Amino acid sequence: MAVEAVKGLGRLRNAAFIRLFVDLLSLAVLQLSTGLMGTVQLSDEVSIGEAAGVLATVAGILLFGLFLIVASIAAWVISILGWGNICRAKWRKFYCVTRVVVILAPILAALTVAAMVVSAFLELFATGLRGEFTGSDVFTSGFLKAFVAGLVIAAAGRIFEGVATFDLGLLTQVYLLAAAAVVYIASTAINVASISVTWLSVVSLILSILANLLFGIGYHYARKRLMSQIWQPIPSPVQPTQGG
Amino acid sequence: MRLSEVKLVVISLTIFLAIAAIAFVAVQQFPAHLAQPPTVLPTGDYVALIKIEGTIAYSTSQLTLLGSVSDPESIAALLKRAVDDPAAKAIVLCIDSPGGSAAASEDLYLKVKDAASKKPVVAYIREYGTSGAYMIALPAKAIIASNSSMVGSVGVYLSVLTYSELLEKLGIKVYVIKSGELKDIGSPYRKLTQQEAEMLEEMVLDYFELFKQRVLNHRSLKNPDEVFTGRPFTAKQALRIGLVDGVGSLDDAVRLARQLGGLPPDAPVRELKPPRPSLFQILLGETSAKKPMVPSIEVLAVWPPPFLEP
Repeated sequence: MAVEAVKGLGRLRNAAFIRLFVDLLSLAVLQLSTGLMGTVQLSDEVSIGEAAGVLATVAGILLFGLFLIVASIAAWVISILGWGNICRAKWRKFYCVTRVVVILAPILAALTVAAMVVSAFLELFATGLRGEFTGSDVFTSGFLKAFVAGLVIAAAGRIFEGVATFDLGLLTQVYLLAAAAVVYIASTAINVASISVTWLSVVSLILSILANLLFGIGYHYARKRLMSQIWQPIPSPVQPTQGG
Repeated sequence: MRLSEVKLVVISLTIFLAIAAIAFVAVQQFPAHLAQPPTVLPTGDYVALIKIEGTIAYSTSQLTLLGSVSDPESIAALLKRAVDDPAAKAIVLCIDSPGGSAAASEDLYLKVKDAASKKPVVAYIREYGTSGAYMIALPAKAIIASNSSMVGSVGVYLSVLTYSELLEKLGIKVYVIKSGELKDIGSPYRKLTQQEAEMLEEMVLDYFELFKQRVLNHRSLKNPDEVFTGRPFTAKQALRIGLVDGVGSLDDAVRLARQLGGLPPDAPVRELKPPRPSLFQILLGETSAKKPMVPSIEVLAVWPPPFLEP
């Protein structure tokens, strides 16, 4: 069982480092796209050279975005495997619940967003684009609700993961993990709040970077500690079960 | 320190609910400039600008096949919007039309007249303000014409196209069975008789008399006979003869509208546009439901002749 836990902690560590990488790249993309928007908005006349530059940057951002999505999915899958290992270690049933929530939350979020976006599009098609139609209609005609619903459902996975990691930190006495979990949950909450205050998304991203860095280090130490304890009885709450 | 399983779940759910509450509040606080429905008019007073461009005709009219159209129904809806909105203190009609069908022009004239009885209306003639288009400008408090515009062409004409000789050359015979002698008046399959020509002329003059009376009611003309020949005028000529009140730009028309509406000189101008068709309507082809073009054109039109183009 302890072997499963070691495996799980190792996977969770790897997932945290991939997420850290994704967050860092996201920050770079955010900066790049903000700069790009500024260029496009401020320029009255854009030369062919500038337009080509803008197009190349947009293409780069899209490519980057695609890569980030793939990396995020990889981190998600590794994290599911990690929680699966932790679940099989039979420390707590809550970790198994966490694994289920981590699996289901992004799927449900994606399905909800897809369903709501389709419904919003149908509504838009049915009601028509009125004479005064602007891009802001998109936000008022259901797309915002879809985005927020998706964000909240996806947040469930992060919350369960955060709380489980907090508990793991207490269990393994690696308090860095507990601290990381608090930062992680705070980042999730701030990310949701950034719907109305856009600059908070940067704060959320920075907190997420910090949380994932702490997670990575914390899981690593927890794993090391566990490995060293496998060979000797430990006074910690980690109770080796029969055959463990 | 160890937390029980139940406590962990409760903590997770509590945090989740707290975040959901944050999301709810965040949506409520969503930036006003993005969340504000765009159809809401600005709270400040403004000058409503309505453009009347192209041929004046109903959207189902055969005339619509000739280019862009100002449909009286959609223009009437915009006028109603401007009249009903207390913040719209004055209306500027930006006219660029050579005229259109007699019925549509008449319809629009009455709508503008109604609006002008409720709010100050200024008509601005951008390029063409002739015939039916001039008729709809008549109820305005003032008519301003652009320096290079064409105004006037007060009159009515009716065109009957026949191609009986062409059909004869092609060896095509058309048999028309009719209940009365004049039932197929204006038919393209035969020549117009003298009696029919006189009758149609009588109708044209009848329509013209109505138009003429309207012009005389609204304008003090210096040389009415010249105006009623149906000739077009340049903006300067139109001003001299009394067809317009001024020669200037759209800004001048807006400035005048602000004065008439009691608005400050920096009061905003808001263009009212007709609603766009829904995507479903476009997909279902509802917007292009026009009558098929038929060869016989029996349209009573107040149109300037094509050679009027400068």
